[in-house]
Amino acid sequence: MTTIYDNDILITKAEGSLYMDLECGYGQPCVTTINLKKNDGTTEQKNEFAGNVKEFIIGDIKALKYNIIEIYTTIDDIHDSQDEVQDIYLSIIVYDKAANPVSTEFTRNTKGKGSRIHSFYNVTVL
Amino acid sequence: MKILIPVTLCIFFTTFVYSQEGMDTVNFQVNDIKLDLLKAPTNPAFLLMNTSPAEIVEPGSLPEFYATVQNASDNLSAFPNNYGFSVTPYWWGKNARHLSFSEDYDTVNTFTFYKTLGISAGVVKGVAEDEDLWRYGLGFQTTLLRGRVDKAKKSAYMDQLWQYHRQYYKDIHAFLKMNPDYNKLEAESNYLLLQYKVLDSLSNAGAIDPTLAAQQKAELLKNYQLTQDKLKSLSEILSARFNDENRYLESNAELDRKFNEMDDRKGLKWDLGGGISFDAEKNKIDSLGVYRMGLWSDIGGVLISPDSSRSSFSGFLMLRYLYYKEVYYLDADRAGIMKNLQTLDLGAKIQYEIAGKFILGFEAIYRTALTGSEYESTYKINGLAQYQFARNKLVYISLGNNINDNSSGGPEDLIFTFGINIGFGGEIDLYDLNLK
Repeated sequence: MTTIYDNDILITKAEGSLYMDLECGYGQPCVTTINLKKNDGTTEQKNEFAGNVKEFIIGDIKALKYNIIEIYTTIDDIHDSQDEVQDIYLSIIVYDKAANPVSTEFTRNTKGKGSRIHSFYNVTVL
Repeated sequence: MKILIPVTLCIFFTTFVYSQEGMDTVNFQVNDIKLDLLKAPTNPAFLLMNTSPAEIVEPGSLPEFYATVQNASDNLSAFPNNYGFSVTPYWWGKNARHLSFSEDYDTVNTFTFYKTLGISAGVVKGVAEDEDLWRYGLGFQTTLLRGRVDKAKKSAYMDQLWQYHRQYYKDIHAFLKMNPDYNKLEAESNYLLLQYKVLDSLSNAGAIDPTLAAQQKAELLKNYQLTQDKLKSLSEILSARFNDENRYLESNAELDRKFNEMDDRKGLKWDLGGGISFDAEKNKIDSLGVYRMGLWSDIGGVLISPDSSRSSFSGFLMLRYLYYKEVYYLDADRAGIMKNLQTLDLGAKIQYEIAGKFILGFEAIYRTALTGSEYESTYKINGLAQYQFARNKLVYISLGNNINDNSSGGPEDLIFTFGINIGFGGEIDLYDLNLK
């Protein structure tokens, strides 16, 4: 079992919504929770979904600014081949309407099924 | 062709020890009814070569494949003389990287070819006791229909994954919060964000010199990034410690069980395989000749299975074509060699299960020669009726015979068997035995 952390700062002057694309590859199942970690120390759950999404609306930029969006994904490795070079892939892109993106991406090989990958991607909106 | 029908009465008393709830003996006999003779092999090349290279590699990527070829050919300076590989090219490319779970575990039975295509090939020098004889083999195997994933079972698996996902978050979050350094860094990060927010407000309102605001914001941003990086490093260290200490999270039996239930696909399944092998004396092209070739196809599956009951009806049809350069045969009167023999096998299997108690199964294979008048057509049948009248207790009647691959003498004797299987075991929790 592996837990991965990554963080980015998205500086935006755009108005409207903040979007994200998320892709779990190699046919692996994944579930994702989006939390808003506010600068007062509290956490609010914004959304959750299973599988891959495209142009998913995280929320309004005004409400998200000066806070951290925590994108927490769990991938269950269901592949049982010992010979796979890579069998885990996760790509997350967060962007505004003006197409300012921040992103994280990783691939892994877990050598047989049964393990889980936990990914925490923190995006600070400024 | 003689048929012998001995009737055997067999009563078996057996004791079972169980560590967990299971299907116990319901499928005890039915598991023996398989049309394995006709089922498409995973690596047809090696089956048709009638020999296998000393080492068969299964490279997981194109660069790895090149490396194995380089290794087998003495860095491309000589032709490989004892090398075999089995690959699934789909998993080498970008398609696999972008394959989603919902597409791969579809609740609709979709047609596939490339995704499940496996290619096997090999070369061996020195076969059939001839040091100068080279044999090559090339084959493929694919699943055209994989069956559909049951919606309810997929939903149950995803629910379990959600439960696991939420529990892990709760646990890891609590663990991180127990660390004073983590809390300090998080507070520092929030304070910097608040400072940035205030500075932004003052700057936007024109209450502060824009150049000074920009300088201070850049400084804050630098400090903030530094704090975030420290938080990331600390979180990684603490999480690794958490994952090591909390071993119950490494293996989640319930999640694995729900996945396996979902992975048991319903509906039609269709496998296709084929291949060809060649002989070449002294590896010369003018001596190249077909040694064997074959084509397999089997189609079937659980065709009717109402969700609310443990009843199901399964059916399979199978077909195999084989070409042999020459076959040695032996029957009651003579022995000899048949050249250029082509055989066609046709098979069928049905299985009917009612409420997990009563099972009726029947399979039959008919084999005939497309060439070679000496070859007598033959068949294999297997039948079973089984009723489980109590836990670990069942009564069954079966009949069957066999066929000999290298015989031209028709089917073997038919045998009937009647049996009662009685188990006296109960459930014992091995964990509670406290063995020392």
